[in-house]
Amino acid sequence: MGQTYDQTQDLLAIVSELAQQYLGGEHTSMTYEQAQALMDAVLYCIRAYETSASNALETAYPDPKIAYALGRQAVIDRFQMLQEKYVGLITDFEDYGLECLKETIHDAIPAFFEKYDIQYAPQETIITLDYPLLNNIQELSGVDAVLEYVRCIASEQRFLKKFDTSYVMEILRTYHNEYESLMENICGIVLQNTIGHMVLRQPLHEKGFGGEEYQRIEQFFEERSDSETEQCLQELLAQWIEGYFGNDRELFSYLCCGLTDIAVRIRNHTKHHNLESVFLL
Amino acid sequence: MREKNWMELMSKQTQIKQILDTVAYTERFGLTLSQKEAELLAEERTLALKKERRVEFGQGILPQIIYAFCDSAYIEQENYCDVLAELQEIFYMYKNEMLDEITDDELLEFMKEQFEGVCFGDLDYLKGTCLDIFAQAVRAGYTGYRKSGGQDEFGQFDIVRRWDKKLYLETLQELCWR
Repeated sequence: MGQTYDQTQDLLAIVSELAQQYLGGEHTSMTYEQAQALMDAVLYCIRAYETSASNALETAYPDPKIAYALGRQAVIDRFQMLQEKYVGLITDFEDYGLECLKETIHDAIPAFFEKYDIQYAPQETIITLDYPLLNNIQELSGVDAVLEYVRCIASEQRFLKKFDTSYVMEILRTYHNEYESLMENICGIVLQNTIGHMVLRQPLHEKGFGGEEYQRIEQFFEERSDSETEQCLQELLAQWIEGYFGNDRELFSYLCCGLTDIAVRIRNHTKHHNLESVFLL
Repeated sequence: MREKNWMELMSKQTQIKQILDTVAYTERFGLTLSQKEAELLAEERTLALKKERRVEFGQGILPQIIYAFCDSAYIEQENYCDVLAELQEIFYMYKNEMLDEITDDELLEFMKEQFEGVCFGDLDYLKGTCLDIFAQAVRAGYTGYRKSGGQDEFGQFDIVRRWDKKLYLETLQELCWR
């Protein structure tokens, strides 16, 4: 947390006021767990204030009560931003038949909007985001976690929609015959396959790889170490993103999160001469 | 920041003052508290809250307990401080046992009613029977106390057939006519 918010007494006063609102005049006490949750709520808002772009240039911390109030407003702003991004996401959302992706976006996130308690529990994420992302957002919580999640899903949608829907589903079907019930990231599967095309500079509409193509890909990777492979993938991806997505740094940054695992898979399958399991179509 | 100590920083002096402020009202019932007794009760409050893992914000419950029970037929000056300490502990315990589903007023109303009418001043009976049975009902989902404010609630859960006027007269009649 920030440098000055160890002022326990100041925080206690804020928590005390929040607690009395929470108790509503009907109770004079609460459990340790409830009190700790309210303290966590106050700290979450203060952290939101500290990480707000508009406060980035502040050199002096305001009064803790003001920091909390501004932080709470920041949380409200993020919640509104999340709602806007979600509306944009589902307008043209494609789940490619994947059940956990569909349920997460169509059921779980609306439940978050319904149940999220900005005042007394902004730190609670409430829902489980079952569809896995390429990156790790476990350190985030509350609206920050869900906002980042929606941003990442939006990046995935931008990437996947560059391909025909039927093509994406064909890759997924080739990957696993019953992919609909998988709980895996489909963007990573499609990205991995696309790397084969990048290496060979083969247009996407030229589906499938033959023995000669697999050999060429093997030769491309076999003399590179794991880290060199990942570096190479990043460079390939950067060029490809620039060609097809302009300067979409957000997308590039997100897709890079999947490259470590992809690089390891490529290296392993190159050693065992079975890149057919990696580059599918 | 996550240490529990921050929860125990409420001013003891404020609590003592609040307790002593009640004396102006309770002395009409022959009940007073000295500075020492008020300090003791404030300390007992801290210990009880710690034991029950609860935190009080704002005014504590003890003044309300005092105002609710000061007209009790079963509290005298000799046992006043001890009874208050125990009522306080019982209150926090049963706020937990009832999962905070019941408001302070509802619980106090129930406690006072039982203390006077069923327990006849027996705190062990209040704690171990009346409140225990009622807490089980609340945990099971009973919410009738919200309408009644905690009044006349125990009868429907009581497991003991108690004396009432009709029963008394019947028994008296039987005894007289033997």
